[in-house]
Amino acid sequence: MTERDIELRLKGAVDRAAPQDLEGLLSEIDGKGAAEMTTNTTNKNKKRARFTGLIAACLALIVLGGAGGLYYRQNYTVATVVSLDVNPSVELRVNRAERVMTCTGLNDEGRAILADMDAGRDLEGTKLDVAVNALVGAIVRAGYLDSLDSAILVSVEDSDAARGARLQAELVATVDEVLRSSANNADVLSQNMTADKALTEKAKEYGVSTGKATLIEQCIAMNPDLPFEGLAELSVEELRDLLRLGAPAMPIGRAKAREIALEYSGYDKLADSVIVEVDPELDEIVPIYDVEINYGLMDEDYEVDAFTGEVLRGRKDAASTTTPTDPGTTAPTTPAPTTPAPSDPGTPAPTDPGASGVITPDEAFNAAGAAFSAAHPELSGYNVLDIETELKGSTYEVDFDCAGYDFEYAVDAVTGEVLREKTNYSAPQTQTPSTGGNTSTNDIGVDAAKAAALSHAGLSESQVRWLKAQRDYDDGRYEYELEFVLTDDTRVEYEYTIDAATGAILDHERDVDHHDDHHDDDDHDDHDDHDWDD
Amino acid sequence: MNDSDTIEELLLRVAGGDRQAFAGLYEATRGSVYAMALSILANHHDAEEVSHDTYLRLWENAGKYRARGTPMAWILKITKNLALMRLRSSGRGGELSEAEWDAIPAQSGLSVEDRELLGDSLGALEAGERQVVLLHAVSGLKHREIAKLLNLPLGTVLARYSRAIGKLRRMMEGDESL
Repeated sequence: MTERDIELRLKGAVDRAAPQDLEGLLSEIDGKGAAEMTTNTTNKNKKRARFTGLIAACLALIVLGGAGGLYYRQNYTVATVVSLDVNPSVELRVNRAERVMTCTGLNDEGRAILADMDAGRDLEGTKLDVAVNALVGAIVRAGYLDSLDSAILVSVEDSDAARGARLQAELVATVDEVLRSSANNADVLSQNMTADKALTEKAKEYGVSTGKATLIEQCIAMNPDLPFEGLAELSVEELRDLLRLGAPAMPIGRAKAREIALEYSGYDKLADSVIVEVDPELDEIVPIYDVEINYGLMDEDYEVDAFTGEVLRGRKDAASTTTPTDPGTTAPTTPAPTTPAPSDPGTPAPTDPGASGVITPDEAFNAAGAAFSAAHPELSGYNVLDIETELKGSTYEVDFDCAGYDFEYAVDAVTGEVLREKTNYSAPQTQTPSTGGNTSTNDIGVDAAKAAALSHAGLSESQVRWLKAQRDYDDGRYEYELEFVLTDDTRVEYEYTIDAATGAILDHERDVDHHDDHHDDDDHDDHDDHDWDD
Repeated sequence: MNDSDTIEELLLRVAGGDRQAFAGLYEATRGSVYAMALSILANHHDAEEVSHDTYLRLWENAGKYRARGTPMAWILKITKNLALMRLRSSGRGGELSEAEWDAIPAQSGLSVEDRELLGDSLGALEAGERQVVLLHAVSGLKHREIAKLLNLPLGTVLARYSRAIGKLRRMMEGDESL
């Protein structure tokens, strides 16, 4: 009985045992109407309309429940207060001619956005729509709306309900136009409200706009245990998703998720050299913070439970395997780069070679990586694996594998200059596959090719000894040529040819009859812990 | 058009509220979804309910699918999360159910052979082996996709698969010889 026979029999049995309940499901979904999320990021209007409805409903509850605190602004010079909230919060006070009287950053990120606008004074006297256009453009450029699920909240506070509603519609159109022109798919949420003195003062106390404070109050209305102060730290995107979830608990927040992932991965010891991006995904079935840690050319991805802080996915102590040489011990203490990367969005901290005479191993690796990228653009899509950085005298030796080849760089430990490259790789000269759909960047890597061969052979890594694992360009495509023997019986030899782009087995051969009794009973993780991201 | 294209196309139509597409998606994936749930929960009744919930979630959330990885992997991730939530809520915890393997539906027209395969043969495997073999042979995931989904080294997945197939082969060939 072949492996395929077993698989087919198993699949047949499970398919027959699987529930067949389509009718029940269809009757159940009938009661739910059409799918709520009928739009993806390419159709924002529907999402916006739906959320505006939610805001309106929640706002109505608050107004009805706490109407005693309603306060109508008497100051005749300010007709309307408009706020924009993402993570930066910016407030515009506008007169009846719809010109900006003041523009204020309400939190540090808001003030950073206004830094190039003379702290907002440049916008004074401009038309409201022009000012909003400029502010949203600055927020987009700063990267605050890069993630697919990001959201911006436009709040209009006006004692004249009709004017407020008109301005709300006009400003949403303005924001939408800015986002569209910058190919950004952020959600645009909006609300139109009358002033609430108590809420305005509370908002001021915590450095948020009254609009964002309204969202926060809605969360607290759903779950009174949630602290206003903690919620004020969350972005509009997080608050939006928290409301959709029914505000079951307090999310840990991006800063805490970042800290947890760094500690779990061991990269906290290299915190000055890594770039961390934290993406809240509270709308997942298991709400998480997705934390991506970039160190040189390495990416590590972590999923942290949004409420418990438990790390649900990601390699523990990844730093110890990607940086076998500890910068803290091999290099004299080098002052940390002076510009810590902002949590969101990050920019790489500049390297500072020579601050104490010797650069750090990660700086050496970054230098080698830059030289590698420049010299081999055709390999830009491949994973870089098995990095080792070692200080020998006044030179760093940086070794890594890419596309099945070894690369070794020598980097001057004082200047950071790349001294030489040593590799057995040579770029294809004329036969770069430009047709046929498989580009050179679409490569499964030598380890995946080995895994495909082992899987086909029904063997594990520990059962074989590799004789050859080589990547070649043949018949208009890249292939991996693999040869191995059984460790228990070296007379049994296998040869495989694997398509480097798809992992398909193109050819295989076995010299002697297969023996079925080679089953490894150990379960050790002797295979490299490579990153298998697609 | 390959299977992934078909499932992706169905998902997009489901996102638009297309009931016919939903039925097509259900037929195309119900075995895979059930196998994923069963591989974690080790119990037909629980796996049946998680499968049901998976399709309700798909109906409500199909619009959230984005073309990163295969659509099948996305669907199975939902199933996996629901199954793990069920484990946690029942206090069993962990990544795999420690409960006794019980994969036979109470009422079904399964043949004796199917019952033996689902009951005795799969039941004789270790939980980790069973999970890998179900995900590969039934759900159709590649070993590297399984490694990523379960957050296991690829070598572990391959070793477990190799052992599971070896055990199943011996059991099946033993049965046939009787």
